[in-house]
Amino acid sequence: MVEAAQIKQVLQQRFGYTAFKPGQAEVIRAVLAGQDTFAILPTGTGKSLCYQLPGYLLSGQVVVISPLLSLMQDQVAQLHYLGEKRVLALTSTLDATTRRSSLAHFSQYKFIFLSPEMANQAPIRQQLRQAQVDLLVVDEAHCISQWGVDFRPDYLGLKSLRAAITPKATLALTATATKRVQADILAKLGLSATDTKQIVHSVDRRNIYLATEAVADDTAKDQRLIELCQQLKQPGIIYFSSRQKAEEITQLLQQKVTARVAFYHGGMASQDRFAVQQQFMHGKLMIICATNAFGMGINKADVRFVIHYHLPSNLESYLQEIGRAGRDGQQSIAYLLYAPRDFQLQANLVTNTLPDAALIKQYFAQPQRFANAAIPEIDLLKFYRQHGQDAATLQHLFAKRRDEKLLALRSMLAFLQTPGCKRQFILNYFTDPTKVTHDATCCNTTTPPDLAALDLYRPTTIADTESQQQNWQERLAAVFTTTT
Amino acid sequence: MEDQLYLLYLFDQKQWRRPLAIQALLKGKRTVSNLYAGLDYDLLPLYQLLPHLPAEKFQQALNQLLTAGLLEQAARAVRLTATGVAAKARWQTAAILPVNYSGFEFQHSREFSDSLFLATQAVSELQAHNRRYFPLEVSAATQYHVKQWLYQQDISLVAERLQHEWELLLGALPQQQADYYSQFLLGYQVQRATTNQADQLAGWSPLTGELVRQEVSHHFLRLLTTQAARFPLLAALWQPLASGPLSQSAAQTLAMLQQGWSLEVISQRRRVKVNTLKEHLLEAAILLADFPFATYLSTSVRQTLALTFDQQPVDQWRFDQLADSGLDFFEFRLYQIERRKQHG
Repeated sequence: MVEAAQIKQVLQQRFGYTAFKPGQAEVIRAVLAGQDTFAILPTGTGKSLCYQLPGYLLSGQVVVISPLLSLMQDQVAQLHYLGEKRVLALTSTLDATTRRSSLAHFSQYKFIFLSPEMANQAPIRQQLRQAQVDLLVVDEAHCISQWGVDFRPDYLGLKSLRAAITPKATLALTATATKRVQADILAKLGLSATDTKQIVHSVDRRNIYLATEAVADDTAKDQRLIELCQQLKQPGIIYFSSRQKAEEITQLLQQKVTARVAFYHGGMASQDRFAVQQQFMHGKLMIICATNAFGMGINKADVRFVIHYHLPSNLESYLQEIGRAGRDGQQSIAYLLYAPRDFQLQANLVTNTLPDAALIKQYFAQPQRFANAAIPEIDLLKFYRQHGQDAATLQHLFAKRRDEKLLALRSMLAFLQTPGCKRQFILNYFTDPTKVTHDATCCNTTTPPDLAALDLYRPTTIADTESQQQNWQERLAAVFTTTT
Repeated sequence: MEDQLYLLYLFDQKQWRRPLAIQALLKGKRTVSNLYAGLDYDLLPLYQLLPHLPAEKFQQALNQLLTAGLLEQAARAVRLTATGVAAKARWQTAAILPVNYSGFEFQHSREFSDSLFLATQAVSELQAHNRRYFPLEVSAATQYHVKQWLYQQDISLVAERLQHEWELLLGALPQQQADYYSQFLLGYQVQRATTNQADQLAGWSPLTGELVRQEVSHHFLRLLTTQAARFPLLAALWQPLASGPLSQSAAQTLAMLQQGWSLEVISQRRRVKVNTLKEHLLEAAILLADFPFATYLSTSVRQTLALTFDQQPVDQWRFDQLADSGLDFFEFRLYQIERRKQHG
C-alpha cells in the first residue's frame, strides 16, 4: 500500500506541484491500489499526471494507448521536459534501426506510448506480453466506443491486449463521454461496471464564458473575427476546419491586428510546428490560427480565448477545444462564429472520410487493386475485410456511422439554437447532473457578453514589441548569453 | 520573383532533357536512369535539392513556361527557346541560386542541420544551467549523435567555442542569408522562427527560402570539411554523418567486390539479384571519380561497342543497336557512362 505521504512527495519532487487538481488524487490512489479505474475528468485537469505519477511508485512499466501521433509526441516531450528519459513512443515515424533497438531495450522504458494499431502488431504484442506492465492506460478512451465520434477499429483489439498482458490495473481516461459511450468503453475493454472504480467529475468549465454568434456570411465573419481579436484579452486560439483558411486568416490578422499571429496545422513540417508551440508557450505569439492538430498536449495556462471560425464536428470536439482556455482558472471565453452555410460545409467534411457504397463495392470486387493505396478509407475497409466482414455488412455499418456523425453534428446545431442556457445544454448532453446557476458570466443566451465586466477586454491596442532579433550577430549573442 | 522561373536553370538551349528525370533527381530518387540523366545533363549535384517537391507543382510550373514560350517540348523532352534563354539571363541577377549545394557530396546535410540546431540549443541551455526545456524535434538517431558529440566536449569551453564557430560560418555568408538562417537558432529563452516567418522577414517565397536553407547548410559543410582545423566542434558533429556518394547498399556491394567476391557469390550471400548488384555498379560508375571501368569492360567488349557507337553522339546511342552482339544492357550503359564522362 502506497502511503499518501509518498504520493505527495513524488508530486512535489518530480512534478513541482504542491496540490492536486480535482479528481487526480482519487484516480492515483485507485490505480496504485491495483484497482481498474475509469475516470472522466474535465479538460485542463492534468489527466496525464494520473498515470505519470503512479509510474514512479510502481515497479513495472506503464503502457499508454493513445489515439494521435501528435498527442504522443507532446506527452513524450512533456516527460522529457520533466527529466524522464525512460520514455518510448512506438510510432510509425521510427526508422527501422531505432525501432529495432527500442524493442531490444524494451524493458528499460518506464513509459511506453503506442497507438492501438501499433499495439495490434504481432511483434509488439509479443514484447508487451513478456513485459511487466503494472498499468495499462487508455487515453482519450471515448475513441474506443463505436458510438464515439472518433471510433477506430483497432481499438477493438484492446480487450484481448488487456487479457494478454494482465496489467495490475487498467485506467481509462477521457474528458467527454455520454452515458452510452461510458458503458461501451467498459465493455470494449472487458471491464465490469461493478469491479471498476468510476471517477466521474463534472465536465463543466465554469470559468469559460460560452458565446455563440450568427453572422451573415464569410465576409461578415472575418470582420467580426478581426474585432474580437482587437478587443479580447490575449493570448488566444482560433480553430478552423481547413488548413488553407487558417493560413489565409493568419495573413489577414497580421495586417489588421498583430504581427504576433501564426498558423498551425498537420501539413506543416514538425520543426515548424515545434517552433509555433514554443513561441506561443513563451508569449512571443499571441494568437494561433489552428486546425484541431493543435492543442492536445498544449499546457499553456493563460489562454484567454478560443474562437471557432468553423463549426466543430460535434460537442465532444467543441468541449475539448474550448477546454484549452483558462487552465489557470481565470475568466476566459469561448466564441463560436457561424454562418448559415457552415453546417453543410461541416456535414460534407465529417461524412466524406467514410467509405461510400460505391467504394465498398469496388474494394470488395478487387481488393488487390487497392493493395498499395494509402487512403484511410481503404485502410478501414482492409481492417474489416481481414476480420471477415462482407460488403453488405459494411455498407450497412458505414451508412449507420454516417448517420451517427450527422447526428453528432446536429447536436452542435441544437447547441447553437438552444433557447435556454448553453452550459446546461452541454451538461445535459453528457448526462452530467450539475445544475447551472445561469448569470452574466455563463453564456450569451439572453444578453451578449460584457467583455469589460468579464475582465476580458483589452482597452487599447497594446503595442506589439518585435522581440525577435533580426540580424545574425544579435541572434547569436542571444543564444549564447547567460544573462536574461 | 516568380518561382516557376527557377525551372529555366534546369534546361538547356541545345540539349533535349526529360523533365521527369530532372524532377526525380531533385526529389532524390536514386535510380540508374535518373542518375544517368543527371550525369548527361550536368545536373548531378542537384540530387535531393527539393525532396518534398510536389509533382503537380513541378508540372504546373513546366506548363506555365511551355505556354509562355520559354520552353519547347518534343515527345517527353524539353529545351529552352531563344526567349527562354533571354529570360534566364535577365532573371539571373535577381535569383538566389545554389552555388555550394552538392547533393552527393553531402548526402546527409539535413541530418546535419538538425544536429547543428539541436546541439546549439543543448549548449545554450547547458550554459544557462537550465535542464527543463523542450529539445528540438529530430529523429532518434540525430538525438543520439548529438548526445555522443556533447559527451566529447569540454563543458566549460563548449559554449564559447561553438559560438566562435557559428560566427565564422555566418560571417562567411552574404548578410541576408546569414540573417535568414540565424532565425532558426534556438536556445535558452530564444525560440526559433518557422520557415514561413523567416521567409516573410526576408521577403522570399517558400521555394526561395528552401533553396537558401539548402545552400547555406551545404556552404557550411563545404567550409568545415575543407577547413576542418578552424571548426573542430562542428567537423566532429558532421563526421559520423559523412559518407561517400553511394547508397549504403551500393557501397556494400562495391566493398565486397573489392574484397574479391564475385557478383554471383555476393548475390547469394546478400540475397540480392545479380541485376540489382549491376545497378549498384552503374551507380558507382556514375558517381565515383575513380571507377575501374576496365575491370568490367574487357577489351573485346569495348571493341564491339566502339565499332557500333563511336561515330554517334553519346546521347543518341540505343541499346537495340546491339541486338545481335550478345552484350547486355549493363555493358552498354557502363560504356556509355565512361564515354559521357570522358567527353564531358
